[in-house]
Amino acid sequence: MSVSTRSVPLVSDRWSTDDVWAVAPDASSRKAALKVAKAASWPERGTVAAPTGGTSALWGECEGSGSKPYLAAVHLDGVGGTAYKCSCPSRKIPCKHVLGLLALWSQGEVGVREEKPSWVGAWLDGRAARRARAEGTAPAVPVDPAKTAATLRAREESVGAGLGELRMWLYDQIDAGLAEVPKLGYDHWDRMAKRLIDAKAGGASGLVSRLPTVARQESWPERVLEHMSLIHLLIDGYRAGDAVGERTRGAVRSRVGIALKTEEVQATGERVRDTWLVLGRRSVDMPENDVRGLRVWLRGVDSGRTALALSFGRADQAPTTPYRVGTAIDADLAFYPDGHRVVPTAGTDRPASVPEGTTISVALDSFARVLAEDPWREAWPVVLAEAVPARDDRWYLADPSGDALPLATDSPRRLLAVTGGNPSTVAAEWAPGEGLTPIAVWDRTGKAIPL
Amino acid sequence: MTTNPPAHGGYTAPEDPLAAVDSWDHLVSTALVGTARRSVPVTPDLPETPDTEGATALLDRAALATVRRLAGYTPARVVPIEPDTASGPPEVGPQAAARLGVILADRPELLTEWLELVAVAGRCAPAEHLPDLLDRGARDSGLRPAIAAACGPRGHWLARFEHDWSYLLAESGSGDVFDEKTWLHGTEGERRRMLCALRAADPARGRELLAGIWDDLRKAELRRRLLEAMEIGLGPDDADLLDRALDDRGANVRGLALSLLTRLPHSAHADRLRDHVRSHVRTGPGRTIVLTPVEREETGLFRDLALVRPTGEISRRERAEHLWTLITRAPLDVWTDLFDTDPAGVLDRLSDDAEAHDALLNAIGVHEDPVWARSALGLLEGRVAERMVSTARDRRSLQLEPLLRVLSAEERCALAERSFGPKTGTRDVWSLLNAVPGPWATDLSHRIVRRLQGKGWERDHGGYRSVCLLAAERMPPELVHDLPEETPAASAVGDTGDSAYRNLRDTLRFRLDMHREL
Repeated sequence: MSVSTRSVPLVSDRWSTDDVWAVAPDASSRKAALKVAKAASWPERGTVAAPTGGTSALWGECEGSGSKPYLAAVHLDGVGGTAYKCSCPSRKIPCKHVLGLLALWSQGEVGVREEKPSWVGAWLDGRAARRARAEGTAPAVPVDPAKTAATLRAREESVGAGLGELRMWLYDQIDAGLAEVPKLGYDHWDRMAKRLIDAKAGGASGLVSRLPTVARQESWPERVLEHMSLIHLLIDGYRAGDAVGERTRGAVRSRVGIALKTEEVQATGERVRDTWLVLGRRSVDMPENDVRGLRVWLRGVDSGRTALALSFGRADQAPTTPYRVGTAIDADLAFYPDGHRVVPTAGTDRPASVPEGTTISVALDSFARVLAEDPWREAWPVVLAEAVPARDDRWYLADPSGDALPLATDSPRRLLAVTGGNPSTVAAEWAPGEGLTPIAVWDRTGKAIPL
Repeated sequence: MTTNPPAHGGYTAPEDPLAAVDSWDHLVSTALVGTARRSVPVTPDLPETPDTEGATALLDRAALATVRRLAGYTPARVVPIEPDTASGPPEVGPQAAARLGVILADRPELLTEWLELVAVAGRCAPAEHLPDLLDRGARDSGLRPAIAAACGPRGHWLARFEHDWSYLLAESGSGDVFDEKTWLHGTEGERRRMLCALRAADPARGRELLAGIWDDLRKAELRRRLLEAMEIGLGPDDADLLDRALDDRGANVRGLALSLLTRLPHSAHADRLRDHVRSHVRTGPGRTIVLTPVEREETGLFRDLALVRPTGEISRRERAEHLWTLITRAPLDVWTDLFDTDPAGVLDRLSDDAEAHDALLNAIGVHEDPVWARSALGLLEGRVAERMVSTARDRRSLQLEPLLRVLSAEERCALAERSFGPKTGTRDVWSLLNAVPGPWATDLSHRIVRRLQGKGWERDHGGYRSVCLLAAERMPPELVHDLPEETPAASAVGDTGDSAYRNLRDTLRFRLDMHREL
């Protein structure tokens, strides 16, 4: 297996303040960072220019209360995305010093410095060396293909067995009737969910764990039956194996919990080279797992493909993404088998023009086509042209034809402020159950504003 | 079934004539009861399934129906909101917009200055930050006028969508134009805005409109808010309406009417107050001025001063309040006329009666009379420094500030600058500077820097820090170039002082950028 070695230089221009705060792990970090984001606190600071122009790294020495300054640095064009370093004892990544340094830089307060302190050089050299080592020693082929295949086969069998039990369990629920579902304790669901974990079907387990929550929703009989029927469909999809299309199979396998390694996707996934517009991002935190997620939606200018870049972080660490809303990036993206998810890959980005939008009816059609391949998909990006806010008992977004979709948010305050209710291009996530969640809007000057 | 989409959109069956029934409801009710007890419903509107009975059949059919419902979502038809079509001033540039983001996050103390700079520059705040700004105004009413002036028509348009923002609808915006329909039928806030707009354009007509409906306004709060509009273009002709409002049932309305009347020294009301003063003062031993208490029977006086007429015995506290209010509200010329002397003479002859003396100082601030203010500050006797510092030290800085406010920025800074030197105690320096509103003149600022380099701070690190904090907000930001790199008196003020001084430089640099961007 070979990790593709990029010949394109990775250059990063200066971030905007929004970009900086997007990587802050939480609101308190941001507040703390602002306190240290003062030029006077950083007597020594500078950027390291990339060989091709742009900024490769950023460093500074922050004078704090202690006798020794904290040494903070950011590697902007690293292969795996941005990397942070700080000598302070904080467990947050990035910590307030790093954020403060980034904030100063975003305000133009950190300039290029020819010479850099030895600790910066050592860190960057170490990262380069580790990368070279990783590439050099990465096995070109799996150590033992037979063994790997056997492991995978065992896993598939285990998942198959788990799903078989889930199937019988589901039949039992339907045979007995759902009337008592809201009264059932967590035990009832947990046993099945745990069994699926044991069977290495973590995704399916998560679907079962959600049932008690679904049973507390409004119109719960309908919601529970929907949810169960989709689980049932997933089991069928898994049993169908190769009989279903490749994308459907990819969707099924990722949803039951057979994850692919990033390297595998890089090596074998479908590749699409295109100019990718960054449509918007949405945080999807999963506090129950102490995980924070970030969904970034991209659209290929020529291919028209929709790509989803997922990033995750621990509860005390904001997920990082190489993508900034409103920019375009030339990249050769590797797709997961479901045909939508991609491995986040950095590239040269530049300001982009307003993306092309559609009517609501066209957007719903595109979602229907996606459902045909992946009926379990819960959120899908739509870009609506000339959309206007509308309201009766709740908020909607309407298109020029008069069609309207309900908004998932209480009040689209920022959207209203930016557009003044005038027709605008809006990117949003569509989920039929929740409604539309606007993620970005382009104002009348064509500037993208993340929502 | 009808083929029209439902008003609110949602999941609907396809418009297939064969689909006489949407099977979904039947599937749900069967699932509730259980397939062990009820057979799976026939679903002519769905594709066939391999099984026709049992849980498999039910789940198969439910899955088909579910995916069909998800994919066949029908949009609603909802009328868009009325857009904002007003063309306002241009938004500030990207750098100023980014700076506002930083101010909102970490430097709220600079928000008013930023907003004022924006309004002066004839620009408006960036739309994306408006929700945040309006939230600030909802929590802090002091910010509201500055927000109203800088948020442009977009902000006023936006305010209608959130209840917490409705205060803005009452704040007048620069572009408001009177509109009869809104005046008659608008919300209370809109009516107030319309009256403000009219007062700005045609004060007499505004007064007539308000007088015409005055007796029909049921709510005291509405009367008060509309009466506030009289402040705009206030003139002698307004006195009659304000006098009428002194009889209002609402105490707040009466209080507002009184403070507006105080600014009309040629009204009948002002003449009555002069008479009240005359009947309550006499010359005491040694040419001192002595005041006599107000009696319960003086109904006219209580009305003219918007005071509640006491019913029982008048307490000492009440007596003091009556005289305080009388002195505060009466035109200052009554004193000089009555005793045939200058302001300094009056103050001097009243100096034995501390309460009356304080009340008169208060009156100078209320009437904004610079001649009296100079006298009070002791300028004419060449004792300004001593007087200012002593006033500040006596915890009477609350009085010092209103007096200084009456003077022009130039004059008060010059006064303040002459009032302290290298030997002035550190605490006095702070009390004095605290009373000098910004922006500070360059000379005053330089003197402050020299004082920071001076002596005494080793025992007053907190004072050093407080002076730095004041200077950060009030010094002209260009001064950052003149400030020494090294912390003045660094060895004496320790870490507290060092970081306070560095913060001062940072804030000035921040403000300098802020001024350049706007």
